[in-house]
Amino acid sequence: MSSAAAAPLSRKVAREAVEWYLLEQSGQATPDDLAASANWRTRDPEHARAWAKVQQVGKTTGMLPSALAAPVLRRPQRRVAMQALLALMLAPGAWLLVRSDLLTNTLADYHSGVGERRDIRLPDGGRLVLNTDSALDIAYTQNERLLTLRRGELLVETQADPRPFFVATRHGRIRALGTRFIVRLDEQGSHVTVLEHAVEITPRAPSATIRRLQAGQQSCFNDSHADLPMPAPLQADAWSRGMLAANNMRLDAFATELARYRPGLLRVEGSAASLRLSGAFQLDDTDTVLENLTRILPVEVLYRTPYWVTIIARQK
Amino acid sequence: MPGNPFALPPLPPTQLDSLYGAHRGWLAHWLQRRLGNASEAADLAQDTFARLLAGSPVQPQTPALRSPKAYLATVAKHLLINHLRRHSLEQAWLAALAEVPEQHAPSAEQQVEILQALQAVDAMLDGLKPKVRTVFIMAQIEGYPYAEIATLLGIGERSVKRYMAEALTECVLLS
Repeated sequence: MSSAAAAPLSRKVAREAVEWYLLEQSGQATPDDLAASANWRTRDPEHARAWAKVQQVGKTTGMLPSALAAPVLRRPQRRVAMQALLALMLAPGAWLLVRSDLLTNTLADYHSGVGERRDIRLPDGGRLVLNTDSALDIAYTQNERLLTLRRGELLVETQADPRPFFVATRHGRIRALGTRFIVRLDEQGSHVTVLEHAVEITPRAPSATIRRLQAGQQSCFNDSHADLPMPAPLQADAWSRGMLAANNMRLDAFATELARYRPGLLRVEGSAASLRLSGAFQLDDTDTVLENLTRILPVEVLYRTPYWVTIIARQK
Repeated sequence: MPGNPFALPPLPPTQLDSLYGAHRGWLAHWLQRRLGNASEAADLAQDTFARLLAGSPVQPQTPALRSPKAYLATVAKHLLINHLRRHSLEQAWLAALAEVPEQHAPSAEQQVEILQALQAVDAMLDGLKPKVRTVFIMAQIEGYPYAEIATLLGIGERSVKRYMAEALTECVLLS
């Protein structure tokens, strides 16, 4: 495969390519839309690559005769999963044979989709909540317990165990000191918020200073430096209960946060950006949150498509 | 990405050789107990090592050499599940083909082409939520208009569009 060498596309770029593709396919694109779409494609080689891929997917699915393809693709998925499960659980003897290896095994890769939240029980009895659009590996060995956050955000409650407990990101490691804490990975770096007890942050660079955080503190670190601890906002873990807590938050910041939980683009334009709001909002139904915004703030919510939403100040 | 400590480096050939020599028999046995078929198991064991050689992204990102058997088993599990998925697809394909009146049946070459495309699409749709998967199949394969899908599934048209975009995005990321 020639694509094997190339880095994977970012989800965001893939999503944008899909939005443009669906808009063009809908037959409702205006000449302006088409021009904007063409402009998007030429702006960045990654955009062009995503566009070629979405075209290819369209072509592949388009060549399938419906009478043959639909029953095959619609075959009961549960049966497929069950078969796989049975094959993997087969033969207790064989299972025991590999048991000693399983102790040091990578147990699984976990993912959550956009808007999804997952509760995960850790092998030592600890608890983990994976926030929207996140990916995680869990590797428990004889010497350590290691979670690797590849994307997104997690909240973890550790259990007492003789083995040390770490959360790793591409920027470094966080060591838990008997604790409950949040780690979030974004473009700026790895953000750590401690809810109970303490953690120790070790950025990847050997020369970097190790930083200790106490309950109620947060810090952001990259691979060479961890910021000084700052007081954490109240309700930092609201998302783990399905809530978005805003305390005198600017609307553009609120929209950026809300956008993590819904597919597509969500923008605030013009003077609406500096409006402020407070309250607790249900993350499981972001459409309703957007609808409610028009009641608490002088704004209008425009749906260009369901996944392309713009918030603007209400016209007088 | 420079220096990502967690990305899996392709194994140096010498280490792969010794891994292969030490564990090939064990892995083939492991797979055979699950598949109940020696030649399929041998093929899959071979595939497993081929994956390691290629440094393909399907595998778990764990240091391979700390615990080679567990590592091999994890890669083999992925392949085993794929194998079963392909098998169930082929069964469903033969059943669907039998339903098509003879004069409408695709030619032998077309059949190969369609089956390959089906396998590609099936792999891309794997892991989608059932509703998202259904919407995608109805819109993209069966050609239903969004409004009709919304009515048939009892969901909003806005959800149909969103599911459609979700599914396509996964396809693009996996293609």
